[in-house]
Amino acid sequence: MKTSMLPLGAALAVILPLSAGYGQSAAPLAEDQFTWETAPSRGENKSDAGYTLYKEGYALVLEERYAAARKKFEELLAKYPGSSYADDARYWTAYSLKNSDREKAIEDYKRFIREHPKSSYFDDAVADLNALQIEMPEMPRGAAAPTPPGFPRRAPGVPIAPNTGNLLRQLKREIRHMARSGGPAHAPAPFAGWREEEKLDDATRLKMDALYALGETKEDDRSFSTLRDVALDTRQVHPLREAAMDALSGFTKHDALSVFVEIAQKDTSADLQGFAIDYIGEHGTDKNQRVTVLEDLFRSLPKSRADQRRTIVYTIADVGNDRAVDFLKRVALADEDYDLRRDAVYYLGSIGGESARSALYDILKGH
Amino acid sequence: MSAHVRDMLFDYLSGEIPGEETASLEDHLAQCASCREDLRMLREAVDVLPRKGTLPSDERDEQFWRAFPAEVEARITRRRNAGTSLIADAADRITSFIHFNGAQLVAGSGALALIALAVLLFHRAPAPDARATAEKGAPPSITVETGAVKFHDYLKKSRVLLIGVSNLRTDGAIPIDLSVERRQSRELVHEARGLNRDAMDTRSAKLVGDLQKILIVLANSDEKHGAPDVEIIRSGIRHNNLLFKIRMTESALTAATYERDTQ
Repeated sequence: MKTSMLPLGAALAVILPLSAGYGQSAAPLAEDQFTWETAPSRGENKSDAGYTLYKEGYALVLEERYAAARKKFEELLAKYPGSSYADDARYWTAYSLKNSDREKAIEDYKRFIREHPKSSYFDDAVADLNALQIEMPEMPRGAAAPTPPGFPRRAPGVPIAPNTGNLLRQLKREIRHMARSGGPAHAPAPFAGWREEEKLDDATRLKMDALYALGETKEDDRSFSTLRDVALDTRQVHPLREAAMDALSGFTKHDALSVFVEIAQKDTSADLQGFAIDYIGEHGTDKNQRVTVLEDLFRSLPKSRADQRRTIVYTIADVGNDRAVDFLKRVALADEDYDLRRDAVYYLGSIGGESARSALYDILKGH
Repeated sequence: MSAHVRDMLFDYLSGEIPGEETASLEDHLAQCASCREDLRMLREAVDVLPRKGTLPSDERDEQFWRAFPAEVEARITRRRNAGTSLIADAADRITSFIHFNGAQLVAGSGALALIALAVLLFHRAPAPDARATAEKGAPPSITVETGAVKFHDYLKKSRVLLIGVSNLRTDGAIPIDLSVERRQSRELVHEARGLNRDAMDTRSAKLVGDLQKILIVLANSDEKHGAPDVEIIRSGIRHNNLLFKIRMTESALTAATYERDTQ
């Protein structure tokens, strides 16, 4: 795709004003920049004749018969242009184009976002557009090609979504953990090779076994203090500290969270900081508490710690509750780091649901 | 399309169904685009297989041939244990066809063809890369490759289904018809059982498990309780942040595949 956009993220370039660049605040969009949809409300729509065609088209999408699906949706739009299923038809038309005509699909998604900002598919269209546009091989080098933490190599045209690196790192951590603790033998094929990357001497392996054994025993003060000391001890080798963190992650009666926060805030290893942030995001059953801790951590980190800040944004998005959505909206609207704002928009689209959609709508309007 | 007709397609291609059933099936095919499409894909897949009378390949070593039958048998057993879909069933039958016609077929070529076949069947599209790999004589990694492809395909189909359900209108203006969604979710429930048996990393396994709960509710949903059922499903999707996790995992699979392929 030939794009005249500044080096912005895909959906952000559509959602936020095109004139905004790095370090700039987003100005609100003029109302006439968008065609506000005027489809009949659901309550008024007692017998929408487009419904049958929509269901037929959607069934074809599920069967992955995209050309046939598009014909159904075209028929719907031609016969019943005022149908309340028009936005459904347009969304699935764009989706159906992804496999055959990516550029046309991108244009259709952009059009959808402009014309149906109040559609329930709005968030899905944002997420799809982001994923699609990032894959575009014609994107200028360096433009819309974020290098996610943990996944440094990136060439133009390589299919990758923002911050995939966070998930890759989490998966690597889990796979390494499984390999060490004798868990399930299989990882998804693309990840399988990661099991082989670690060569540990016998003494280290033995210590790791002991740490994992501590994590498996009844949770007591002594076990906790031992694991905490190893996790925080910067003189220890990383595998041992990772194993201690892993063992602590199962502790519920002791304050393992503060150990992870201390590592995330103060440690000198970016890898271990990333692991600590992951553990905070997964710790305990109270999602609001997790998000609150991560938000505090986010605020406490200097702007220069860009990787950790990105990891925190991803981890909060992974929690995905309303509090997380509020945080992402604030980042998307006001953070100084434009990459972070782009990530936040992408995550909001990927989370979906009413609150995320509402946040995206507010971002679109600039407040 | 009935399961009965689906089951007959392979036999039909093999010329192994009686004349009166052939006529009946052909009548159905004339009217049913879905069955015709399945027949077309199956025909493409079968066309990849070697023809009778092909000579055994000399490119494979003894160790490969010793391991091959066991790998095929293990694959068949796994699929049978997991419960089969049309596609999996067809793959099994073709695998068996190769295996038990060994004197006339080239098992090695069959194994290579299976890679392409699996991709054809699972992706529902030609797979030039898989064919190219097969032609180069790369070692077959049937289980690993199809496992990854299946997982990715399963996530993609689940995402489409969940987006559809998330956007269903439940205001009562139009009676809810969940028949399409029920059918798809049943197929995905079956696929998930196969995936779980492969014991992937804990995060992916948890995602499949969370999805499974939602898909089972959807597979057993009822038009009479359509709106409440849909609300339960939506609530589950939101509670588990499923669409986000699916999208991120899909991206990670794509990125990791790229990383592996370029190393």
